[in-house]
Amino acid sequence: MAAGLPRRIIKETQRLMQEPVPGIVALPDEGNARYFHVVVAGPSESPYESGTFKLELFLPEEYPMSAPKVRFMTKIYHPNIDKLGRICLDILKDKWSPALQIRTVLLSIQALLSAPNPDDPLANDVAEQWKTNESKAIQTAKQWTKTYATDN
Amino acid sequence: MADDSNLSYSAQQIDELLRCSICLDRLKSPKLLPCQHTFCESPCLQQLVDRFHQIKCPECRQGHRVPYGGVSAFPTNRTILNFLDLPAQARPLPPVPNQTNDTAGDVLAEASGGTGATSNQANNNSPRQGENAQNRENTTQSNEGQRSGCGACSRQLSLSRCPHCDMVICETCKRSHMDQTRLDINRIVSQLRRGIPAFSDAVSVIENKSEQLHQRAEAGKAEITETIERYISELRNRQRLLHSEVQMWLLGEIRSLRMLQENVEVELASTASFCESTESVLQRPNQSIPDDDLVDLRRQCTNHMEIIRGYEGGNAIRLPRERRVEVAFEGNRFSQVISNFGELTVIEQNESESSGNSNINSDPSSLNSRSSSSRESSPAVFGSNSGNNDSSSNINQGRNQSSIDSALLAIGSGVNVSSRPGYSRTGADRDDTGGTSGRHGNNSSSNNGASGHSSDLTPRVTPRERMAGYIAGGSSVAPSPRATRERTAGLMMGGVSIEPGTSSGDNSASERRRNLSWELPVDFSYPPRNDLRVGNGNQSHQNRRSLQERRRHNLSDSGLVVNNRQNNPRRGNETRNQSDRRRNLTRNQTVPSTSSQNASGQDVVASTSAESSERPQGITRSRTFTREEFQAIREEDNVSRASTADPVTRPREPIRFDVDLRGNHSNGDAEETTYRVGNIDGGESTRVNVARNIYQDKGRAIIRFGHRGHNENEFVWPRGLTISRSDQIYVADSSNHRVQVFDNIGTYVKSFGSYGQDVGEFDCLAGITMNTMGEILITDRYNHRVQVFDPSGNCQLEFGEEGAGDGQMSYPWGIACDSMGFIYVCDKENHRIQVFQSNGVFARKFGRLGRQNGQFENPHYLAISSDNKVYVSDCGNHRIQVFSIYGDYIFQFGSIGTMQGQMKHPKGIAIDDQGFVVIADSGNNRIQVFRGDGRFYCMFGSYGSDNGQFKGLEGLAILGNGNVAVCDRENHRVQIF
Repeated sequence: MAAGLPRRIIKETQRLMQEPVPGIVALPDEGNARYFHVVVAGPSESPYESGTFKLELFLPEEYPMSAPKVRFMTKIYHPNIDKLGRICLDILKDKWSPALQIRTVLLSIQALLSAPNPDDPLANDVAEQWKTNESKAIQTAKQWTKTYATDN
Repeated sequence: MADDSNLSYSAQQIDELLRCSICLDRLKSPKLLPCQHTFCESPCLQQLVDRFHQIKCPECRQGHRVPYGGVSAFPTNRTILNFLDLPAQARPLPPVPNQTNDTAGDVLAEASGGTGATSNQANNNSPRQGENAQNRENTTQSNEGQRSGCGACSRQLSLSRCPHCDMVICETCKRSHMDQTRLDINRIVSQLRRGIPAFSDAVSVIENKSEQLHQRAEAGKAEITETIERYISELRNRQRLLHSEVQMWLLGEIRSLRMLQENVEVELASTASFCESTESVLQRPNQSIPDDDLVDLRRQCTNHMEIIRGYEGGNAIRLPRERRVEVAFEGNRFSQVISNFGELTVIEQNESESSGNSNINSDPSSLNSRSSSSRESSPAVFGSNSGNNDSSSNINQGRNQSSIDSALLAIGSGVNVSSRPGYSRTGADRDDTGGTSGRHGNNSSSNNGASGHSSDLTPRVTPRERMAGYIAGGSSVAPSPRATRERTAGLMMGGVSIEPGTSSGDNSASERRRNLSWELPVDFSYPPRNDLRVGNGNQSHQNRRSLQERRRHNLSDSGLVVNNRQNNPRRGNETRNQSDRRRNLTRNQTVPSTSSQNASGQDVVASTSAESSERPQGITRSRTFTREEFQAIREEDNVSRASTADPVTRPREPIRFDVDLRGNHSNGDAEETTYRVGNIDGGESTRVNVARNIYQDKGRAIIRFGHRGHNENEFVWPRGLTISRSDQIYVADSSNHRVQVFDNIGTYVKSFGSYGQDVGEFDCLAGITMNTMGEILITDRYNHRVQVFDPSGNCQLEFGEEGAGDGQMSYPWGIACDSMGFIYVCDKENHRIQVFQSNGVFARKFGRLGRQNGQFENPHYLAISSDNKVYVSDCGNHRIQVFSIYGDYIFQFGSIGTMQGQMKHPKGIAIDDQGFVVIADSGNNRIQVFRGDGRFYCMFGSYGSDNGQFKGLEGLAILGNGNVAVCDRENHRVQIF
């Protein structure tokens, strides 16, 4: 199987297992080495603290020449993440670089949780809320985190 | 790792720096971008070049123009190169002595200083891996240690050999390496797990296969059992038949004996009384007895004396003892046939293309030694069978019905005609019922011949006549198979021609008739008919006469027959295989077949020697007598007909037939009135009835007309066909968009219709029928409507449009009317039958797409029987379904296949007034006849464009005289049988 899988993916996977990023767990799917089950811990001092967020990450055929596809599985209240879990993050789009890795992507996502960017919104109403009433938005985000992102 | 020693730490750091951030491997031919970031030349940088010939640095996203020479023209990062080369320089290591288990740790420590701890730790962390590594080390470490540094990082650390890929690597690398291996293993295991179902699938496939084999074997066994049982039961029937024949023979004998006894008793009494009276006369002493009286008495005495002497001598006792019953079975051959009968052929077959089957074949050689026509010859069939199959062993059960039947025939013939070794079996058993009895007849008759026909009880056939018969029989030899068949055809249409074969047939037939009359005195002096062209006209007259008398007396034990000896050197019989076989197929039920066979087929019996040439005549045919007589009479008519038109050889001269036919009828009637006594109805209707029943003689077309073209008498894909009350044939000349009308012998009468969508115009009309008012109803296929025409061809009504609703139709095809005037239309693409009132108003519908009872797939044609049952040819389901006129499903028959009673894409369908269902089995290019209840009756036709052959059958209809008219689509013609 390893033959069909580029060395780079193997190396990345290995490294993810050997030297996990703190607060991030990425496990390749049993049946598909390009598909990862990811759990990201909500960063401290953010509305998502103490939440654990499930994501799925898929490495397309062109990887690393094109970006992995990442999506939140857990419901999250965030101006850059829409209802379907799609993430608005530049490095997942036009700013992708082959020098980036799974771990860096996940770190970026973790960072995005810490620093929402309502000016580059995906979920418009959430971004709106965030801009107009940030405290309430944060409150909601906390609420959601409590509701959806704990105990799983 | 992080807390490892400084050296290890720094080495790792350096190692990290020496990695390409794209492939994450150690840099290979490191190229320096203008932004000072370094990557592998290929494939990493190569892949980065975009279509504008630019590179965006993966690290800093700075864009760079790729130099003219490509990525290789970027400068090489020599510093990195030096770093990469570093381990290689350090490779020569202090030599390591031979290792043992005990010293392994030392060696590690020795080799890599502080990293010993690392290795230990690694071992602790993953004991199993450590063990492996250790074991590996124990055996092979020394060499690798000496040879090179770590294969992955090239550093000089404690080295060991990877058990997996034989790479020599340091502990650090090894750990990740082993982790990778573990990962791989995980993946592979999951892969394996995913693959496991394949095994279970295979297992289930094998199980299925074995089950299938079991089933096939069972099916094969069942098939064998069924077949054998069938034959056993047929044998049993035969046994019963023979028994009854013997019984009948016995009764006849006893009766004649009784008559004889009575005669003798009378003689006895009269003699005794004579004695007494004479004595009393003589004893009267004084009475004067006139001299004359005395002389008279004396003479009477002498007479009595003579009579008594006759009895004493034994000769004069006219006991027909010679007529023994001798049951002759040709045991050897029959048992041989039995032993060879049925054959399992295990055939290599292509994939699952054919369901495995047991090929129950009769031994081809024994079976077909005689059959000249390849169509019936079972070897040919077998050949095709085996030809189909290539690989994969299967029991081929493509058992050919015909082969079995011929085998059966063979059996029958084995019993019947033991003394005719050269005779084709199929031909022999034509008179299945009469064969054995015929044999009895043979014996008795020959014996009779020996005894000289002196008794009244013996047939009055003089040797002279007999000789005449022989001569006639001998001279008239069916010249070729074809001739005989033609003759048959001729008979069917009323006997047109006399040809050698025919004449022989007539002779024999007449002789047979003569034989039938053996018990009755025949008037020799009956004047010969002038018009009989064959030499034995006398006989035929006698025969006819005898037939009449027979009929009159209604003798049931007529079976004992005087045998004809036909010394026919040629065996024309073979040629009759086909028709014989047909007859045989239907033998149990079909009286007419047997009779016709007997009547007409006599000539065909060819024999090699005088002995063997004896043509047995069946006793048992007494019940079929009327038919026989019909046949005989017909045949005689035929003979008497001075006609030269041979229907087969001149199929394209319908006019001639017409004349002949008419001549026939009138002539025959006249003659019949001459000879017939009372109860035989010689009228047209009866004749028609009989003719209609002789489906099994319809092997060859009486009339064929039409070929491709647009003129009169030409067709392009004729489809539907119907018969008017005046016996005209209306043909839906589909792709000429017109209806052509012919009379019943194919003479063009008129046509109407043209292409178009207007009233009275057609677009590929298909079905056509006639209602009781003589109106012509036509399904205008591509116009999705029905048009009703008056008899002169003017459109009176049209209804229907494209669609699936009530009253709408999609490619309507067959059409029929019931006795109440309701119009039934095969709504082909809607897979249903629609019923309309005679004014075109929708009445009801039934059926929908499916395979269940009452469902259709493209119903093509339909017909309504006189007892108001709707027969629908469910083309796509290869069956005929029968409904009440209200659409209630009653039953169905037929399934896909080539055996008798099976069909492929049945199309045209017609029902005669006796309820026989005639079906155009288009996929098999044959016509099958079923009884009204769906039991197979007979079939004829094959693929081709010759006489009696078809390419794509369509509609068919039954003419008033019982002939069957068929649209032979791809041959663009109509054939009449």
